[in-house]
Amino acid sequence: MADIPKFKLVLVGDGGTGKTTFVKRHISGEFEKKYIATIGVEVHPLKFNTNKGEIIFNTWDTAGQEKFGGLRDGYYIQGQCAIIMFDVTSRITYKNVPNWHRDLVRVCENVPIVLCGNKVDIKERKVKAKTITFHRKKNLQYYDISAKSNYNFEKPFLWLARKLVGDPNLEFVQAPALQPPEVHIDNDLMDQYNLEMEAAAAQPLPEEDDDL
Amino acid sequence: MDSAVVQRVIQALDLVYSSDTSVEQRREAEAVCQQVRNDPEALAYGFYLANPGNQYPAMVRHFGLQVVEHAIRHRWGGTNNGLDAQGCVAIRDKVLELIFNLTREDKPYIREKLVSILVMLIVRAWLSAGWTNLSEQLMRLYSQSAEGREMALSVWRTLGEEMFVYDRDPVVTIRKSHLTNGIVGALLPKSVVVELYPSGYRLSSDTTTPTTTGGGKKSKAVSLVVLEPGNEEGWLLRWAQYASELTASSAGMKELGDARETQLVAVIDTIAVYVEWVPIRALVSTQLIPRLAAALLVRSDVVRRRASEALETISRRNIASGEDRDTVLLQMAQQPEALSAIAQAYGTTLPNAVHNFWDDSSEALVVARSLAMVCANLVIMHWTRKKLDTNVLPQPEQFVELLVAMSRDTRYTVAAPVWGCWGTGILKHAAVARVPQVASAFGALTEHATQALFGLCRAAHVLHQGNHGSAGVDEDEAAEFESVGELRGFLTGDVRGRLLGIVRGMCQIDPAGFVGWILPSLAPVFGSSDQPMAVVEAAFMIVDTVLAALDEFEQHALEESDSVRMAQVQEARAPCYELGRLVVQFACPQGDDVQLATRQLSTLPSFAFLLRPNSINNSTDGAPRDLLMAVLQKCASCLHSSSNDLALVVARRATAALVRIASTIPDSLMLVYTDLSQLVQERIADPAVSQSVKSYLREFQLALIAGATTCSLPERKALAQPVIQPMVQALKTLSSLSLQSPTAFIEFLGLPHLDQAFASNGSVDEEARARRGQLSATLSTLYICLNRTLGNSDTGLAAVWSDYVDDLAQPILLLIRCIHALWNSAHWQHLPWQSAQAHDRLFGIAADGISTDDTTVAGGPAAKEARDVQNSLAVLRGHAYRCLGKLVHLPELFSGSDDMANNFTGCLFADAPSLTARHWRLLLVEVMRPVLRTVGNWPGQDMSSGSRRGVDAVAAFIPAWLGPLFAFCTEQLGAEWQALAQRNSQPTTNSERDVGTEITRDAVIRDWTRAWSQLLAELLSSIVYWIPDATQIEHDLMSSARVAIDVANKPNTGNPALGSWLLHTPDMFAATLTACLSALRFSDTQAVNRTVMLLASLTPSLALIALMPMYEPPSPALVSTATSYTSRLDSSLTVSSNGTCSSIFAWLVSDCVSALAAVLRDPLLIDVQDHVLLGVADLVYFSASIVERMPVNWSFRHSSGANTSNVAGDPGLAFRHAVLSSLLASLDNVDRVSAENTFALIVGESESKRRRALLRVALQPALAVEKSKLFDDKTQAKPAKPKHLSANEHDVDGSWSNKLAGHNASVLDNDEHFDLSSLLP
Repeated sequence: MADIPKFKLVLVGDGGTGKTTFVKRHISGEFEKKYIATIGVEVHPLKFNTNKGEIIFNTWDTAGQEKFGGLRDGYYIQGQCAIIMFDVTSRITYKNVPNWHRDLVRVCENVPIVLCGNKVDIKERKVKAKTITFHRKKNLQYYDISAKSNYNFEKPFLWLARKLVGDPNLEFVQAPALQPPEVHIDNDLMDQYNLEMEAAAAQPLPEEDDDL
Repeated sequence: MDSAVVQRVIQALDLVYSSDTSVEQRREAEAVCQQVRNDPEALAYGFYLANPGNQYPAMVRHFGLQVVEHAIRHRWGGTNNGLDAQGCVAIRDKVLELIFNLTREDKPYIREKLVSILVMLIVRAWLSAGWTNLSEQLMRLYSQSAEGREMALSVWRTLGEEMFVYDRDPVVTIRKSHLTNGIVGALLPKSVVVELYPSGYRLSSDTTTPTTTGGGKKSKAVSLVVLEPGNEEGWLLRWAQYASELTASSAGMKELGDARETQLVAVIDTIAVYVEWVPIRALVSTQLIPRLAAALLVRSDVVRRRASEALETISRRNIASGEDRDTVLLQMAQQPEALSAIAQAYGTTLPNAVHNFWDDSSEALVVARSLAMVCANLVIMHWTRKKLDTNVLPQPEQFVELLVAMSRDTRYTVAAPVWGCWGTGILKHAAVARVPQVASAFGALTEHATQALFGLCRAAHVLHQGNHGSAGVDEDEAAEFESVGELRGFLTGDVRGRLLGIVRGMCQIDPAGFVGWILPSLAPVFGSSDQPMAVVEAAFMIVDTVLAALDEFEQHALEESDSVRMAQVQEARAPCYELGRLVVQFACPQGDDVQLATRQLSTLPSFAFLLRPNSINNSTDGAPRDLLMAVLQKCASCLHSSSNDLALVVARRATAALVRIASTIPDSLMLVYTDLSQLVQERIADPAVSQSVKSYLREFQLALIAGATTCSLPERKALAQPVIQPMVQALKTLSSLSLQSPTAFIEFLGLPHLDQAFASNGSVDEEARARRGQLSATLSTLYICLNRTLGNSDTGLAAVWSDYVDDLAQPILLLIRCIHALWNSAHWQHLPWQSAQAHDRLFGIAADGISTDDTTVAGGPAAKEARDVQNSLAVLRGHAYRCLGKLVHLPELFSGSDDMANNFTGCLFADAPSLTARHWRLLLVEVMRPVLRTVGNWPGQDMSSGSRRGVDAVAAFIPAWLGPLFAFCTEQLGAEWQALAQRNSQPTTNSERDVGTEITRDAVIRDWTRAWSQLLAELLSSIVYWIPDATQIEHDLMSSARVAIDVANKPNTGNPALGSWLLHTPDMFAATLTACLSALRFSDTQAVNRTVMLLASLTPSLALIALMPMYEPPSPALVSTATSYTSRLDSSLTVSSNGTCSSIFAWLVSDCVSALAAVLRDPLLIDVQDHVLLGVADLVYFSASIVERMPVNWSFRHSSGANTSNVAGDPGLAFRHAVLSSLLASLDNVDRVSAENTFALIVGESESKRRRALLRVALQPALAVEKSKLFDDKTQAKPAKPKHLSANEHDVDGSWSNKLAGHNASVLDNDEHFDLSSLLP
């Protein structure tokens, strides 16, 4: 265990966006339906098997709500990578992404960051693909994900692993411990989102994000 | 200060920062940290821990600073351990001391935290009596050392970001005008300030950009900008000079060096925060644009990128009124040094040069794109902005050269913005397009644009076939797209549109010349059947664009009676007829792909503008008439076959083309109506033509009749009669035979026979199937025709329906009654079911509408028949609702309102309790909403006085069902949401089916809730129609003049007749408001948001109107104005019997505020919070406006003590106290004193954004972000986690096995000794 490379991953985002559920999916495979707010931080080692060996993300699942924030940006110290999560069914959570990003980069300079839009399994999506442009401005990687349906569940970790290791050919070679999805993702819906993303990529960047 | 506490904190932090600490230990450690933060001596502990002299580790120092930050955020101005002015100065000085003592070794996060704290202090206290020397303090830091300079830049940058980029600290909103004053004085050179504001300074509170008083916007806040002695040159010039020094000293260097690069990036980033905001004169005075442009030539990818982004920001920024709008253009496109630097920098990014000048070619692409955006913005936002007769760029040669060069760029993302600026800017601007240097570029531009279009279509087709490599797209550019599909979407969307914009623009500059030029290129394409598909598609696009451009050109020429342009179009006509002949004669290659055929049919309607009646009548050679007939015959020839799906697609496209032509040139078609009608009737009689195509053909006929201006109403009726009569007759027949009772309808559907078929596995009833199909087709056609003629605004043919209203409405109502009855099991019980299977299958209809279970199809003919019945019922239900929703547009429907109301209620709600959520959603959206929107609100009525006829119709029609509908939906939805909440609180099941069902249920309930909120919105909008917003009422009362109330010019939302009736029917008015508040309990963001927004606009006005009778207006004019508002409501709503407090008053301060507070607490409604805060803040503000800000005080007519918290005297004050009490009773943890102070501040705050921010600060502890009840009790045991399963215990997904097969493996996989850990530190 001592030889396995470990990286400190900071997971941030507004309360209720699904950070803890996302982590739990990776730990035990369960899908946590009930919302129990995280207090302060919960640290979980997430182990992945890659074609280059094992890798562990020490995931610091931080509280999204100010009331339970604990040390807040103190938890980011010595972070080596990060995931910023928002909820595609809640505009305010996307609107707050710049704040989370700013707080992160003030403490962790030049670390790879993934932006994740969670809950894409829900059909009443509020944050449309065309409005998700923040990652393009800040050179982040973006993924639509769904903790409930397992959609793209491994993508953020894979991207971070490749960046941290500096090897674009790194692959996960074994599926993490996942239980079957709670709900099958609607492929048509995903195709539609992908099309919207295509159209969105063609749009010029808005001057501000206040068009949410 | 207790040293033991310090030690405990340090130990606790060790535990917190370790990854291996257990959850319990971490909790305890965090509790220790929390204790310190809440300690009255927190500041002392914080500064002690942060002090570098105490030599604690960086993480401890960081925590110390966090403690300080926490104290500033939570104790500033508070009543509990609040910080006073003296304390604030002490904190500031200590923070500055820490900043001055920073060393190079200090961690970046310590620096950032200190900057962040200082900015928090600046936001809260700067530019007050106690703090006027910020510039002097930062100047000392700036001059101290390189690190100090970086820190000073960081402070300014962070302050700018807090002000203009992020929206987190509400104090920024509250103090924005003070901070704006401060920044103007600090940043701008004194000379610019003096020039801008020769007699002092006035800042508009409505904008973030400082403007002179001569601006158009009203200025509310007046304050002076303070210039700090010793800061005469201003920070902006200081930064610009610093950037220039660094740039100049870097000239010619092959490597910039890390330190210099960091410094340049820091200063450019700081400038960039403000360039969008500072006055243009300051940009000129500090020579910022050429200085930033010079940075483009520094040998550093990152510096060039930041500089290009800053220039891009300047190029697209707004120019405040009072400033010279051409300055940015002249500075960038006319100044040789700036433009040369931009051109030179762009040159280095070109693919053949990039490797000589850039470390990373992808960075070069980004900068090239940014520079292209700069040029495009300069054209669109400045050069071709307005004034079509003026060219403001005297010497555009160099700039045009650069634009042409960028247009030739092979990288689509670079060229696209420039193509856009040619098409939408230059080519549309008369004066600019005439400039010789510009005009001389058109030839090359046109040639290149058409070639690029053909190339783009080819690339899109290659990408469509999945062959990425040969598409000819730049590698770096392609790599930016996540998929080939994404790249293709970009090419066929945005890029194609911009190229076609150039074609359109060129065509309008010289129509005949352009058509003459393009025709020889297109003729071979349409003349041959073996052209590549991409080429033909591009040719069709060009034809479409050219024709649309000519049409638009001709329209403008006609509108302006411009004979010169008319002659130009006339000259272009002859080649266009030739083009039309080529397009019509083009024979699409036979095959499975119908893309070209549909493309061709889409192009045909574009020729319509050439075929107007004048052209046909005045033509000497008959070319227009020939082309018209050729187009119609081409469309008709595509209607024959319906043998397969592809042919059906083509047929539908052909009918769509006919409808488009009919809508565009109906009078031309009327010239050939006899032939045309015969053509259509032949197709309608043709059994090979599908029912849906026949429906569209009828729509075509009606569209034609509706649009034909040459026909009188009787003629139209006569022409429409053969189209409408068959539908009416079919429905009447059906009504008399099968809709008289649910049993008859069940027979009509063939359900008894289906039952037998299930029992005996026998054959199905083909006749019943045909009956169902025919009824569906009739309703479908009827709906299409109604939609065409009674659609949103087009009522051209409404009158032709008047003769058929009863004949249509009656059967449709009966049909709806029969369909609803199917969902009531009472109507089924008497049937002698032989087959339990059939019963279950069909009873499934009753359970949840259309089953999506595919097993029904697999169960033999009877099961398929059951599926068909379900489908038919869904179609019938949808069309019946929609047809009824269209018929309510006809006043004739309500001519016998009593009968209609009874009929309507009887048929729609007879089986209401049995209806499912899906029924309700459809019913509310398709029927009830249109009814509320249109009843009484017919065209041609005098809305300003409220038409008596309309109000009478509402009064006769609505009351019978609206009240029961309120009660029913509120109760049912409440029960559904309660059940949903219960299900969500139950333990998780991982059964896929259960979860799927649950998600479906959730979606269905949400849909119903949203439909309900839409209906309520119709009612609220109708009320809002008659009640102006509170700002207008306040303005009218303050103006002290008799005000003519004008509602005629209000935007057309809401139904005036309905609104007038509601306002004068107290019971229904109260019921509506109560229903709206009840709807706020249903936690669907979209639904609640809609309701809250309307309530937020309505309640402040209601508060004013409710309070008016309690005051004595000081002048007769104001009495008149006040009366004009109060008279809009029934008097019982505004004045209570004992003269103290009206029912609206009571409703607002108790029910309404409590309901809004409940929304604030709901964790699922966090997105609605801002609107709620706005609503409450406005309620408080406007309740005070009557006496607080009126020019002459109003005296109290009535004390309000009787009903409101024992507060006697000012009723407005009593109102606010009652609001406060009601609000606090509904929220926990809110400090009453703070909330009262906030209310007092809101009363004097005119800007709504700041009112909301004040309220947010006061209610922060109780807002929904707390997600309160769900997690307050963290001591509750979490659900037991399932046993941890290792990866091996799970099935590996299919996609993983591919990865396991190693097709993505790198060469390192073969190295046995390779280990990931060897690569890592």
